[in-house]
Amino acid sequence: MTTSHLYSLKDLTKTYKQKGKLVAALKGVNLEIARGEFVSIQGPTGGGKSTLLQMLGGLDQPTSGSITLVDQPLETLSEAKLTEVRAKNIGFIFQNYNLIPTLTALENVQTALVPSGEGKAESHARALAALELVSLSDRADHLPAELSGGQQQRVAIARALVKNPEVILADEPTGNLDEETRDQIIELLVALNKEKGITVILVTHDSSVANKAGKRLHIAKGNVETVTR
Amino acid sequence: MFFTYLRRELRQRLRQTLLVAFALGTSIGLVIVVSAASAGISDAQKTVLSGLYGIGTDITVTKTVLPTQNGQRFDFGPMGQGATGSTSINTTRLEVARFAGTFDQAALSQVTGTKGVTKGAGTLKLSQVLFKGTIAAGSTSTTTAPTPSATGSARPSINNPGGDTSGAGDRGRGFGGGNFNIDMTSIEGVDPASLTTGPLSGVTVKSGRNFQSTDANSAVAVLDSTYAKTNTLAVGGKVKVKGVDYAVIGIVAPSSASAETSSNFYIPLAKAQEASGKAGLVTNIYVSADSSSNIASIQSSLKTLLPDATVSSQADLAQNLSGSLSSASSLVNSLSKWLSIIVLLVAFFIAILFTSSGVTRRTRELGTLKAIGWKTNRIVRQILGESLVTSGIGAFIGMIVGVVGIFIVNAVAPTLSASLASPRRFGGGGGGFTPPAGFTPPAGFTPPAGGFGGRGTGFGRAAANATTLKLHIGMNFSTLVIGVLIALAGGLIAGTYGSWRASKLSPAVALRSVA
Ligand SMILES: Nc1ncnc2c1ncn2[C@@H]1O[C@H](COP(=O)(O)OP(=O)(O)OP(=O)(O)O)[C@@H](O)[C@H]1O
Ligand SMILES: [Mg+2]
Repeated sequence: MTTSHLYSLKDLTKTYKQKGKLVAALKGVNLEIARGEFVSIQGPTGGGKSTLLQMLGGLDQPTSGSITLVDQPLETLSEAKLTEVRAKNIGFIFQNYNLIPTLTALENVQTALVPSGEGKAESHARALAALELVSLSDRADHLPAELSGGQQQRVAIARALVKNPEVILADEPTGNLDEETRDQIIELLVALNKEKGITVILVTHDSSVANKAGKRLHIAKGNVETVTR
Repeated sequence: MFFTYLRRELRQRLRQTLLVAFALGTSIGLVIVVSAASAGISDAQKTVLSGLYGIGTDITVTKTVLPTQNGQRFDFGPMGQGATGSTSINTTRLEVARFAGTFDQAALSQVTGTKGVTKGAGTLKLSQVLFKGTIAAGSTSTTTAPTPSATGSARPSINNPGGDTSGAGDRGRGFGGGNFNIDMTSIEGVDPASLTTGPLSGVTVKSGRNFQSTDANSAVAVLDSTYAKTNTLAVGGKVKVKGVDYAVIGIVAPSSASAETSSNFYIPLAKAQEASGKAGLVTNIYVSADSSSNIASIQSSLKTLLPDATVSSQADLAQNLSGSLSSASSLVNSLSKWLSIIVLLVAFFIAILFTSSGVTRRTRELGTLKAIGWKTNRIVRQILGESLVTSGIGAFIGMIVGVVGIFIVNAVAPTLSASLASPRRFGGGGGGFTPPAGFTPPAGFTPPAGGFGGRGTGFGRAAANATTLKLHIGMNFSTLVIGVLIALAGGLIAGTYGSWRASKLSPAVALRSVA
C-alpha cells in the first residue's frame, strides 16, 4: 500500500436490515482514491451512492471488508475515534445544506472548529476567513433562513473547509440549485481541490458536474465501476 | 459556542421555550402557594395553641381523673330562710378543674430533671363555681310538677363567661321555682418565678403588668383580656377567689390577635394552692425542650416516668383543634396536595414531550453536528443545558406566580376559626354538666335528670377557647427553594430524556435526504 492513497477500500460490503429483509447497499467494493483527486460518483437512485459516502466519511461501519483512510482502518475504530477522525480530516457538504437554523453563517462555520477546542478569537478569525473564501463575509451575521440556497451551500462549504480537512465529501451538493449557482459551487470545489489540494468526492446525478471530475465512478446495485473516457 | 448555541436555540424557538417554562412555572407556583398555605395554616394552629399553652411550651403534662362517687361533697353552706319561705343560697366552690388530676412537687422535679428538658413550670388549674339565688320553699321532688311556664322562669341560668351558652338543656324536673345562678370561672395558679414556660409565656400585656417574683404570696390577679372585657374589669379592680378579694394588676392577651389564654384569670401558684387546699400540688406541667428534635424522645421518657399522665406535644394538641381552621388544614393537606401533584406531573409531561419532540425535529441538525465531529457528550450537554435553562425560566415564572398567588390568597383570605376539642372529652357532644358526684342538693332540690346539657366538654375550657383569626400565609425561603428545585428537576428529567434520545442518533442521519 502506498501512502499516496488517501482511501483504500477492500471487499467493502454494507447490508442494511429493513423490516426483516436484508438490503445489500454495497456488494464488495474495491477502490483506491489518491490524495488530491477530484472524484465524482454517479448512478441510479438506490444504487448505494450515499452509502458509499457514509463509509468514506466514517459515519457508519461497514458490514464486512476494510476501508482505510491514510493508514487508519476505519472499520476497526470505536465511535469516539471515528468522531475524532471526522472532526479532523473530513468535511461534509449535504444536498440540503444542513446548516444549524438558529445559528448565523459565521457561527455555523465555527461549529466545525468546536471539536478542536479552538479559542474564541482564533475560531472567529478562521471562520471569517473561510467565509471570505466563499465570498460571504458580508453575510456573516445572517441566519440560514435569510440566505439563498446557493449562499447557504457556500456557508456549508466554508464550514467543511475551515478545519483544513484531508477530504471533502459532498452528497449531491448542487441537487437543489439552479444551473448558474450550481456552476459557482462546482467552481468553488474545483478551486479548493486545485489550490488547496483537498481531495473532493462528490455524488451527483448531473453529468455536467461529473465531467469536471478527474475520476468518475459509477455505482449501481451496490457495484462500483470506474468510468473511462 | 455552548452559550451562543443555547441562547440562540431558546430565543429562536421562543414559543416552545416559553410554553415549557410557563407549564413548569405555573405548576411550581401552585406548589409554592399550596405549601405556603399549608405552612400558614400550621402557623395559625401554632398561634392558637400558643395562646392556650404559651409560646415556649413544647410539651404539656396533665393527668385525667374520672370523678369518683365518693368525691368531694358539694357543700352549699348555710342557707337563709327568706321571708317568703324561700331558701337563698350564695356559695362558692373552688376545686381543681374538672377531670384534672394533680402532681406533687416530686413529679414536677422529675419532669424538670428529665434529659432534654430545659424548663418545666407547674400550674394549678382551678374551677370556681358560684351558686347564687333562691329556691322556693317547699319545692320538693314530690310536689306537683310545675307548669312549663313556671319552670321556664325557674330554670337555673348558667353564667359562663365567654363560653358556650347552649346550656341548660334539661329543665329541672321537680325543681320548684326560684331564681338560681351558677357562675363558673377558670382560675390558674402560676408560679411568678417561671413565667417563660406556661400559659403566660408569650402573652401581650394589654394593661398593667404581668406577675413578678415578688408577687408569689400576694393576693393579686392577672386577667385574660376577654374575661376582663366580659366582666368589665380593669386594672385596679378586684376579683374574688373563694370570697377573698384579689387585686387586678394586669390584663393579658395572647400575642395572636383574637385568641384567648387558657384560663379566665391567673393568681400566684402559692395562693391558688392555699385557697384550694392543694398545697404543693399542680395540675399542669408545661415543658420546654432544648431542641425540637428531642420532643419525641422527651415525650416518651415522660410517659415512662409518669405512666398515668397525659403527655402531649404541640403536634398532638394540634390534632385536637377543630373548626374551619382544621378544615382548611385538611383541605390544603389533601385536595390541594393532590391537585399540585397532578399539575406538576402534567407540567413534567409537557416538558418531556416538548424536549423529546424538539430532538425529533432536530434529528438532521444534531446528526450533522455529530457528522462534523461533535462528541455525543457535547450534544447531551447542549440539550440538557437548554432544558435546564428553560426550567430556570420556569422557576422564575413560578416564583412570580407563587408570590402573586400568595398575595391573592392573603387578599381574599378567609377568617378561620378554631376551637380546641379537649383531649379530655367524655362521651362527646351532649355529655354536658352532670352534677358532680357528691353533689348534695338543698332540701327540695332534685338535680335535673339529664344534667344541664352543655356541649362538648361542658363548661369552661373547650367552648371558651373558640378562636378566630385571619389566615395569613407568608413567603418563606425554603418554599421558594423547593419550588425552584422542583422546576429544575423537571428540566433535568426532560433534558435527560431528550439528550438520551439525541445520544442515540447516528451521524448518518445527516445524509438522509428527507427534510
Ligand atoms: N439506513 C438504512 N436502512 C435501511 N436501508 C437503507 C438505509 N440506507 C440506505 N438503505 C438502502 O440501501 C440502498 C442504497 O441506498 P443509498 O441511500 O446509498 O442510495 P443512493 O444511491 O444514495 O440513492 P439516491 O440517489 O436516491 O440518494 C437503498 O436500497 C436503500 O433503500
Ligand atoms: Mg443518496
